[in-house]
Amino acid sequence: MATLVKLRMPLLQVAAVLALLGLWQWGTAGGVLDTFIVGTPGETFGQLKNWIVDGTLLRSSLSTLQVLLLGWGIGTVLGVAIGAMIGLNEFFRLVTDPFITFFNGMPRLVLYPFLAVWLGFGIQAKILLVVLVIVVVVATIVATGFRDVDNNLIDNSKLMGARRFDIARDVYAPSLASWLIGSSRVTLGYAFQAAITAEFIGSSKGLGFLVVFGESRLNVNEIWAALAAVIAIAWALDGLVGLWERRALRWSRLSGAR
Amino acid sequence: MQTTIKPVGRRLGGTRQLRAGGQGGRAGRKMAAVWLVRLAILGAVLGGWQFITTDPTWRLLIGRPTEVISLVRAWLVDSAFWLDVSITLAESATGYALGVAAAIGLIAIIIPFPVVGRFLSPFIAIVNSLPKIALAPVFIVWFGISFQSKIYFIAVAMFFVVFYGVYSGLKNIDRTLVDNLLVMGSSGLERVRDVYVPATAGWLISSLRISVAWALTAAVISEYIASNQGLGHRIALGQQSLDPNAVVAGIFMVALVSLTADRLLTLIDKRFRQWRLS
Repeated sequence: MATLVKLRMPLLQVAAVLALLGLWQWGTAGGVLDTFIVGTPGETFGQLKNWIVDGTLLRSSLSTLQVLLLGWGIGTVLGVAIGAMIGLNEFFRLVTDPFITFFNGMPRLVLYPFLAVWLGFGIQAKILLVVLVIVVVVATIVATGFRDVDNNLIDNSKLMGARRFDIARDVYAPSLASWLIGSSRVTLGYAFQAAITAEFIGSSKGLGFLVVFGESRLNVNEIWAALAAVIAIAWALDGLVGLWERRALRWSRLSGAR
Repeated sequence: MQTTIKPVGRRLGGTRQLRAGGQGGRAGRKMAAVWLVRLAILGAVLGGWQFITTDPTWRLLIGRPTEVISLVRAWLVDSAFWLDVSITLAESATGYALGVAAAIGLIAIIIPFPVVGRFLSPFIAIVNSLPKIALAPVFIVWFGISFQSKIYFIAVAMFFVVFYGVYSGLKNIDRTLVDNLLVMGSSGLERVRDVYVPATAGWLISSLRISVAWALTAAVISEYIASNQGLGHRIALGQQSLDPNAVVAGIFMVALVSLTADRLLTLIDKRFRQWRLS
């Protein structure tokens, strides 16, 4: 009985999804719903199946993931470097402050047309867009983190004879890791957003391109199929990072610090 | 022993005091140096850009600062440009308002009926993990190259930001406030009016500042993909006519509009922060 109560909600949710799909199929078959506007479930699944069979889906997903992960990696490394300089050096912080504010406040996705004209529609412009979108976010997080590092910890380490390198390894590096992991879901989300935007514009591969291609042919089924793939990847990525975050940060919750 | 340990624990407070006290002359000289370096960086970037683009190939690729400036000046006195700005702003504002209304409507259902929230939460989480920008083409197919396609897209993009923000804000409301009102015999309506609405309003004002850049991005990107007016269209036009100056100027104007809105909202936020219910 207890398990039945616990299962009631998921069952209801699955039932709702099935009912919606059924209604969609019935409505489009009966002519109540306009297939031009909503597509049909059959054709959407058919499209998805075609893409899986002819490899389009895998190729596009890999292309998007390549842009996303490379850009995210480079952006994170650059962001950590800039953030560390801002956080540790007062002069550097003051000098960069207006530039960071400007860059942080402006809609950075809009930079892509410029990058595309400059670097061409290849992978470089896309990766650079992802880098530009997340580098400020990472730098800001790292900079505030470095400034908020508990000074007692540093002083105590110094008292016990730690050198600069020891402090970097034992005080800064662990805190840095925890901020980066803690913010990775947000930055990955931004990176995905940037990768899709880059593929919208003058691209010939990737999931963003599949969505726009469906739009240009006014084929809603293709858009749905591509969006389903985007959601699946976004969801898997988010879940994986969440899992990693929980595992990696377990110690911090156990020890009660931060 | 006491004396050796004390300064260690106080270090942070000590430095802060030093900074706040500020030895006038030294701090002034430092700020002068800071400004000098800032201007040097800006000058180096713009000067380098200007220098590289003496080569016509580069000029065709990345534009030229002096030409961008003269283009911007031409735009500033052009009424067509201001029409584009106002269209982009109108799209962002209307879309944001719609998104907020939808999010608050849903929350108004979820708070009194938690079952609805539990039922919907996985669906909302799944759609939220989707990069919202990917939805722009759907709205273009549905509503064409129209004002509606932009505002509905922006509304959907804003919905999630607002929904999660307001929802967690309401969840974090101090229970004692609600309990005190209960003890004093308040009605449900009074609790909504005196606790929930002020808390939400305060949150919305600060979130508006964060989301204004987002709403503008969404508007410009969807104008860029398919439109015949607005700042995004201006950028797309510059790209199609191989005029990098127009692309750079367009991007710069978008950044400027976004930063101006940000500054204005910071002021409003400060003004309203005093009665914020945290």
